[in-house]
Amino acid sequence: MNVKTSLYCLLSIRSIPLQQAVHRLPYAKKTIYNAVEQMISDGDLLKKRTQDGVVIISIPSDFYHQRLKELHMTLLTRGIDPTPLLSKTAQKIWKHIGSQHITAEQIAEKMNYKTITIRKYLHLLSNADAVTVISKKPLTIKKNERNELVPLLDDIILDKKTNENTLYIAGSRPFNEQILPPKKLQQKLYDQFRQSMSITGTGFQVKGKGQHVIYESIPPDSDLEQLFLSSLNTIDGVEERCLFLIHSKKMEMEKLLSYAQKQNMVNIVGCYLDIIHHLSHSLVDKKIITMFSSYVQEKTMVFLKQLKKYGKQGWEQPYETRWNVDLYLDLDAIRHGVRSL
Amino acid sequence: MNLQEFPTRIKNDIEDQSLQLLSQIHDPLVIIGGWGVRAHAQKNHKRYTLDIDAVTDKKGIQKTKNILISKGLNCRKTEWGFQLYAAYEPSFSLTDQEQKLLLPEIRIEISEPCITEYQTDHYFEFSLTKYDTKKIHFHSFDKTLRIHVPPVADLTAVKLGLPADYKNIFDAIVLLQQTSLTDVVASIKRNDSWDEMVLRRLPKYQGRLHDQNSLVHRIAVDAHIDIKHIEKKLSEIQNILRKP
Repeated sequence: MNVKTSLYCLLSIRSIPLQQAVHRLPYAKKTIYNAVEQMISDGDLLKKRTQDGVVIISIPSDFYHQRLKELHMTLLTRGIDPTPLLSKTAQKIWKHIGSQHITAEQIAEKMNYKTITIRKYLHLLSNADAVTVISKKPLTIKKNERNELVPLLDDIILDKKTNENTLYIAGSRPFNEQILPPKKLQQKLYDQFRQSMSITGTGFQVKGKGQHVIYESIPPDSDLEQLFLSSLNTIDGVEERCLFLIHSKKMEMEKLLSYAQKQNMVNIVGCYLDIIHHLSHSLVDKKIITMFSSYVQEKTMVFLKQLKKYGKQGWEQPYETRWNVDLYLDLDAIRHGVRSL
Repeated sequence: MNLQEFPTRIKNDIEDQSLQLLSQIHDPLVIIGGWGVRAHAQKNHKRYTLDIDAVTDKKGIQKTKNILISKGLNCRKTEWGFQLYAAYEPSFSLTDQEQKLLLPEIRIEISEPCITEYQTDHYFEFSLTKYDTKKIHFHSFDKTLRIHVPPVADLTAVKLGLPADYKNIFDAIVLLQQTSLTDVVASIKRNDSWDEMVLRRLPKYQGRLHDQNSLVHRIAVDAHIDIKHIEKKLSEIQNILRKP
């Protein structure tokens, strides 16, 4: 284990005074000071002086470094030295390993490395159980998705391009919304720790700096149409977000119909679009209503459960008949939302 | 996927351009809606208000239309009055990213002072003679505009009878902190059967405010508003209005 890894392992257990690290690690003072300075300038360590003048060193709290800390602890407690597994070569190799079989020769060719070097690292990864060996000759491996090291290595090494589309809204909201898959959301929580934020569905809210950010978790690879469907199940969704999504004209209506069929939501979606069409012909075309009306489902659906306790308002009946729904929307609120677009 | 407001500088510019237009109308428009709330609550009203809503008499409407049309705005009739509008043209160069945005319109909506509920005959009538004069600050330059707004109790009273979406609820609770319940109730009762509208909306206001996952609950918490205190006030209004 090299000095930097030793420092990281120690600080993964807890933050300590620099003096104590120097005293406890079995390296020359100068070596440790140099390593600490280097790691601080690389952003991998934080240095803070207390009121008593003691210098404390710690691991940064952002997502990347917290995952790195977790990886060090996991490897250490399994009796594996993290140093070679986190070397630049190992990281490059990891980028070529997926759920499909790949041989050492294929990786070597892609990286323009010698096969013997690749084999050496693949054995290290195999010993850590991060890859499964399919055959020894030729050495063929694949990622061992069941192993807890794999998501840690993925988070640290892979530069995942997530779908961070931004839909801009000319609105008057005193907050922003970020709708993210769990992993990305976790990353935001670490990286935007000081932000004023809340997470939908949890009741978790913290005050902080800047404009309030509302986070919402969605399954990975969700698209606008899925977001629209899930938003139709909430009051704020029906009265605001779904209107923005329709207004953006970015949804594919055939895809929306297909999803709605699978989730038994054709009646609800059709009914909602019909109401919006009634309020503004330019937002939803009549053709869309006709398309959905051809697939009305037999089961009567309640739309929207959360508003049922307030009863009906008297305008619902034609829509209920056309779409086979038990309707409890606040038409005035939706109308206000349409007006604000 | 992010649902993000327009960049702040664009929203500031839209609001400033709207105020510029407003400064050119000399008629005594009474500004209602979000701008009215802003005028009373100032920095406590933590949301943008891109459209301007105003009330005036028939003569005032005509004069306002003439002035704004002469300034290049278009006019369309709406269910409640008229909407004067023009495509928003930023007063600065947009970045590449900003140029991709679907920019909104600058809009001023004017109507007569009687606000009628869509599905019933309930109405609320703003006074065109009894109003407060308040300052509104421009964002980008050191300038203020004096506007006429309904007294805070009237604005609160009307908000409590409007649809229970997060904007109306947020506006109402911001205003409720600045006025007395007696004045709000008196204002509600002065207006025909507006109390029926308020009684119909209040359970929804309370439900949304109480729900930790609703937008308005979260905005209220973020704005350091004492939700329990507001809930108590809403219940008191409800109780007073229910009394024969």
